Amino acid sequence: MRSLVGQSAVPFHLSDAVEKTYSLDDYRDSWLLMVFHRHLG
Amino acid sequence: MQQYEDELDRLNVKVIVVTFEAGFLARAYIEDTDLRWPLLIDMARELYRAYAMLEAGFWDIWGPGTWWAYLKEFARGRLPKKSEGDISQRGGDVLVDPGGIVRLHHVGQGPGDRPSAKSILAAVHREQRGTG
Repeated sequence: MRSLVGQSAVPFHLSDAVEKTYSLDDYRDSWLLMVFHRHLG
Repeated sequence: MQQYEDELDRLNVKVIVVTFEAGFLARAYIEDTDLRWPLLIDMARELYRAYAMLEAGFWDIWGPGTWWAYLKEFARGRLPKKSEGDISQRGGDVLVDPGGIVRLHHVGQGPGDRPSAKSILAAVHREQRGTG
């Protein structure tokens, strides 16, 4: 697996469960921790 | 991770949780865990793929690491329940600095393979001090 450490984060534009949208740009100027779930159930 | 919410706030770390499952499962998860962070839905799994979180193999899902993880959960009094979703999807953690650069990129090999909350916080401390 190729590590992306040191590279630019991948831009995203996603919605949450209530259709509010979020993008990588929303987190400019702060640290961002993205926790990817395997599955919820 | 939620137990470290105050420290994450103090370190200016925003948290988002990403899932590929929408609808009832997502809403139930938010309610069951009292999730206070956004739960973003990546049904097409494009962001998952971009971070190399692809499909896990049989031994990643059912190998010794998994059984050890379940044993630890059992020891904590938490019984595993039958999974509803795609159990082959890998998870992971990605930490991005304020300049948009990836500073931590972990792809889980199986259910128990996640960096601990403390190790993630240590990585943030290290990166913020500029010694990472």
